[in-house]
Amino acid sequence: MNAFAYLVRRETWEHKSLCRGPVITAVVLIVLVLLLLFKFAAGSGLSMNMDMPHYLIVGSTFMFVVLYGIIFMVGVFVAIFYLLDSLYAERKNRSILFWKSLPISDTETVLAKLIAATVLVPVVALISVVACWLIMQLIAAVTIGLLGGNGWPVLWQPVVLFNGIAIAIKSSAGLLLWYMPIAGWLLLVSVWARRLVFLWAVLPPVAIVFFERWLFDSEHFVNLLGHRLVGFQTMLDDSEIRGIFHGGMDGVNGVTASEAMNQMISFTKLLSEPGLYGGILVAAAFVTGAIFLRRYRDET
Amino acid sequence: MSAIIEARGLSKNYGKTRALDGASFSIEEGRIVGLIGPNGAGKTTALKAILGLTSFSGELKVLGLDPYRQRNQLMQEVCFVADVAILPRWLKVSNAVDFMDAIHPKFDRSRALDFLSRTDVSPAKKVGQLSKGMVTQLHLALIMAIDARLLVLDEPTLGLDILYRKDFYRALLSDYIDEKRTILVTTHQVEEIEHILTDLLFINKGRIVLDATMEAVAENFVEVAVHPDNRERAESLQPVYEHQDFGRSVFLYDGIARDKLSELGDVRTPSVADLFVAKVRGEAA
Repeated sequence: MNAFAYLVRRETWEHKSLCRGPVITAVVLIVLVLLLLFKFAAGSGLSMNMDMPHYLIVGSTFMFVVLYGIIFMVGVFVAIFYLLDSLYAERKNRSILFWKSLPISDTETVLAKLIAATVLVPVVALISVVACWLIMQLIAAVTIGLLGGNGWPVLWQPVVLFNGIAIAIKSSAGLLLWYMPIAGWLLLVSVWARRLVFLWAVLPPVAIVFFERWLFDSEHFVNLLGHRLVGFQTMLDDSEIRGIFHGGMDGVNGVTASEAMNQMISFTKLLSEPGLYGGILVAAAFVTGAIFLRRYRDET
Repeated sequence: MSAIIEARGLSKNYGKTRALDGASFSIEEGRIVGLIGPNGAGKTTALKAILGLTSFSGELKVLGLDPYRQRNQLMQEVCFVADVAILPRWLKVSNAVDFMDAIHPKFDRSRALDFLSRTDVSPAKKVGQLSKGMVTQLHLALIMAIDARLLVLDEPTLGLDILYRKDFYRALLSDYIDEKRTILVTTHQVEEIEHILTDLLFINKGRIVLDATMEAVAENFVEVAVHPDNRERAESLQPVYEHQDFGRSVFLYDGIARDKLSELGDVRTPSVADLFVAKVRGEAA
């Protein structure tokens, strides 16, 4: 393993939640489904309707997207708190002098932390989603088998799996590019604040909004911030999926649903958004600032 | 012999405080130098400047590099232990060794493991579970396994009991020191490192007040417990410092022949601690 990969690995020793967060969420979801299943299956008198597998296959597509949504959400929270702590903890516990005694540049250190939050966490989350989904499929198939049906077509859904993974990778990549300035900002706060990192992350933007309103009576910054925080879904192309569900569920099967969802996430809208490139520039500036501060600030 | 560290007029202000005030010194390869000064004398600032951790004015070259601008390059050849045991609590001993092995091109894994095997530090433990003495042992094991040209130790044994302190310097002396390696060390417990030093650098108020080899110190500095009858003669020879010891006046001289002084009373070579007190107090007077 090369030195940089080890730097990223080091982060998982210090911040165990980077890997544990998504994995534990997946385990909790599986346990939850099993509990619900036992509660309903016992005494509900559920019998096998022969149409069910058809709906279940559509369901398995949605299942993938829902699991992805929940597990990635947890990953986002883990990454936010990790980034805020990443360059603060080493100063708080004074281990920075040990890290600075090693032949690792500040650029490598800061980038390793950025990569841990923006690449490692999504990869662990995706693996958790796939494993969780496969187990959910198994649970569904076994349940159907026990009820006297044929569980195999539910269990084995390569097209759904393939499209699901594509959806996850594409949307993660898009989200990552879009939210990169936020990640950069958190790193900058983490290296700069002497205490109360969370407050320092939140207060300056709020203060800018307030002062802009007060001094110039304008709302440019709050609009910019709002667009950054909730503007991502406007980049999705959802006409396709609306078309598919237009006639209700009857004409839909799992394969077409998953393909439609996959197509819904296209980069054409995102890539034509000037804000994307502006955001990446801002992110680069924040990260450069973080590297510069870690390198040149005299900690006494 | 080439100079490992070359400082000319090294200065640094923190606000209105002058931490370094034109310090000049040079350290040759293979020397073991004690940088000794009272609290606030500028020791830590000098070390930080040498390690590229702080900006400074004046001239400073470490291994021929500007430590502040060429820090990344410098850290390939230099390692340091800062004043307290600062390894992070979450770091597992075995992971620490793996990590160093992966990121440090001059780290010798077997050396580190060999050193650790002679201590009570268990590889499965985390730093947070070790005593302070063991954390220092771990740190020393990691540092001694690096083939560095310059090792900087800033109060490496602070807060350790006497057994760990002795072990620390014994390990350094027997396993690390050779003629290619240069060590710069600061400590308050001068008497414990006296015997391993080759050179002394005294610093006071940001300035170097003594820069000498141990041989030169032994040759030039003489302490005389003067007989009361000889007091006037003793004072006329311009002592560097005078203090009272068991009711007798003890004078310290720089560069005056021993034979001449032995006529005044009992002659002995001062300890580094005595010399230090004399130099620092003598400056103030």
